[in-house]
Amino acid sequence: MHLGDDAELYALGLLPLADRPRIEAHLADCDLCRKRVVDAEETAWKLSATLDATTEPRPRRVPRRALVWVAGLAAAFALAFGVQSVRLAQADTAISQTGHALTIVAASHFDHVTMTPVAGPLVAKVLYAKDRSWIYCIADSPATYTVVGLHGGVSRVLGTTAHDGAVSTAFLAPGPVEIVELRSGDTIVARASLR
Amino acid sequence: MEAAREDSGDLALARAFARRERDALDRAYARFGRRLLAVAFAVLGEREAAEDVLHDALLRAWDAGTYRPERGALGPFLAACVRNEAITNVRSDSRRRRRELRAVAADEECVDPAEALSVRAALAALPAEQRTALDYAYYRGLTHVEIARELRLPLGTVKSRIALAMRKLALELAPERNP
Repeated sequence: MHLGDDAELYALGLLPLADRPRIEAHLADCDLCRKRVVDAEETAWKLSATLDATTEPRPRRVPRRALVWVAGLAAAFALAFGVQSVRLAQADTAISQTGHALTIVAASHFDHVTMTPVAGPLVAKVLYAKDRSWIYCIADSPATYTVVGLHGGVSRVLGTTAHDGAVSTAFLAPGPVEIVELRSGDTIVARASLR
Repeated sequence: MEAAREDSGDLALARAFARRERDALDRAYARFGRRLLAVAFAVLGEREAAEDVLHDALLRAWDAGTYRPERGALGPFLAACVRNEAITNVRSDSRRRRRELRAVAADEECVDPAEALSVRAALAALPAEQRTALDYAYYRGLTHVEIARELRLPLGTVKSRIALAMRKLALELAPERNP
């Protein structure tokens, strides 16, 4: 079924976050709706000509949020060397608390992704080895979250985060996983698709 | 004029951005930054937050590598990314008050005064109920659910008014009508 009026609403960013995956999946397969969304984006672009554009943005810099996970990764490295502060997740999938962690990260081809908040204002990132030998989740919140991995539509608990000051982290060996979620109880708080 | 400039000068940038070339991000920032900042600021109403959203959205769009030039022009794609990021930011921060927006007056600085003029004329030509719905959606950043509540209208009516307004504007502003 085509998107109908949702095409224009999607282009304007008006649909709930939860609807976006459904829309994007449809757009991947439907030329008609994709054209309608692109047309609406172009119209929105024209509308932006009426906005106040007196200010130049400052030169591009490292986004503030990036610093959160860099700081978190530093904490993980400290942890890997046995420096007290962050507790590794206790699940059997957790990477053991040895000096190997830094070596593992340094020797890996890894990537990172910003998690999409599903419920609430959480800012979170996942660093992950492309071969899924490890993932490192960091949330900009002191709360504890359950880390859930999805693979082939099946979900399983990978571990839990532990707080370290203002952030909460987990360093885990997930195995095959395409989607990582942070949950608070039964509520999905944030989600990320790994490439 | 804007469209012509995009046609001639921006295709190479769009291709470089799609290939995730390193300097394409900086070039996109230099080319579209001012207008994209206005888009983010329009939603957020705070300069620093708008700058953060602009940086994050561009970096994410470049990093994701999902843009393809055959999809459409780079500027509108990035504007949609920035607006989405800004709206997500507003929705996820209940402490942030949504700012009421407005189109700038004719004597204030716009990206392209001629383009702004034709957009205002097209907006003025919309039926009042469609113009109001679009005003709430675009310039005030309300969701269709909030607009329905505000205007005491059925949700479907609000959705169709916004969509109709967008489609009429697209027709009105099509290049063949504005050579």
